[in-house]
Amino acid sequence: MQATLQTLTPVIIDIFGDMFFLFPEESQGPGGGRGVWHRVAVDISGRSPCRLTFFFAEATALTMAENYLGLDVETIKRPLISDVLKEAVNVMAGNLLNRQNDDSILGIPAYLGTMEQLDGSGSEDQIDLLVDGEPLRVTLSPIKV
Amino acid sequence: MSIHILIVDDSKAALFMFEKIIQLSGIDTGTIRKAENGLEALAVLETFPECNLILTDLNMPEMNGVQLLEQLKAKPLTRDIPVIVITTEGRDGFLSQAMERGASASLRKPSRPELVKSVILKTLGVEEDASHITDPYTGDY
Repeated sequence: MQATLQTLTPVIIDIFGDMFFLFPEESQGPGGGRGVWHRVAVDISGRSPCRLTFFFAEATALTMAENYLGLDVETIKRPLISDVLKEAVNVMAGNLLNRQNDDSILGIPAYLGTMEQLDGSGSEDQIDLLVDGEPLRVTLSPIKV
Repeated sequence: MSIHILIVDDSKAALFMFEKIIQLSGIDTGTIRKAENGLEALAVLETFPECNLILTDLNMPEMNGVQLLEQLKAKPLTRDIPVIVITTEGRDGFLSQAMERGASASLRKPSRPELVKSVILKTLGVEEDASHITDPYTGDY
């Protein structure tokens, strides 16, 4: 699990740069708090089945959609924003498997909606990054088969 | 020669981006149609006989890219249409299944616009004129 998260961090940084012209930095500690947090999860099946869940701050989600689609954010409809987030997770998880040379099977990312509070506690099984000052969290949890 | 393209991806955002990349690439494009999975792609092709190139994602619900390839290659009307598969993973299994089933080329997400154009033209056997490559984000050459 730890090795996967260690590999995921540079993947996230690379993909954010390539797809969204955003450059995440490692956070000094877990970010969080009140706000609008978009949740997207993807399951990976194989030797060690697990679920990656991404928590995107609203401002990050809007900038990602704007930069990826090349459109003014006010003209982008909500479903397309969640679609951009799912596509981002798809590409990040796929590139993670690629970098790990892992033949696990990538599921279809699911948009799980928004939440109003992201707790500020840390865990060994999560990554906390900052994107333009906004927290970005990824958690990894095993799936029981 | 105008290229009539069907793009297949379960992500509306990816469909939008690939359409934009193709439109800005300088490729002589005719009709571009889109589908969100393999089943929808087969339905679109029923009314799109001029289609001469398919770009398809591999990881999709309903009918994935490998299953779509099997269907396309089994039908006389579609078996000669070149198919470029798009994937996020370089997994030998999934990608090689697609190549074994007749995919002409592959692209990995994310791909630079220049690479998308180059792979499309190479697949169609068209000589590339690099002066027409445009960045979809900035419009710069």
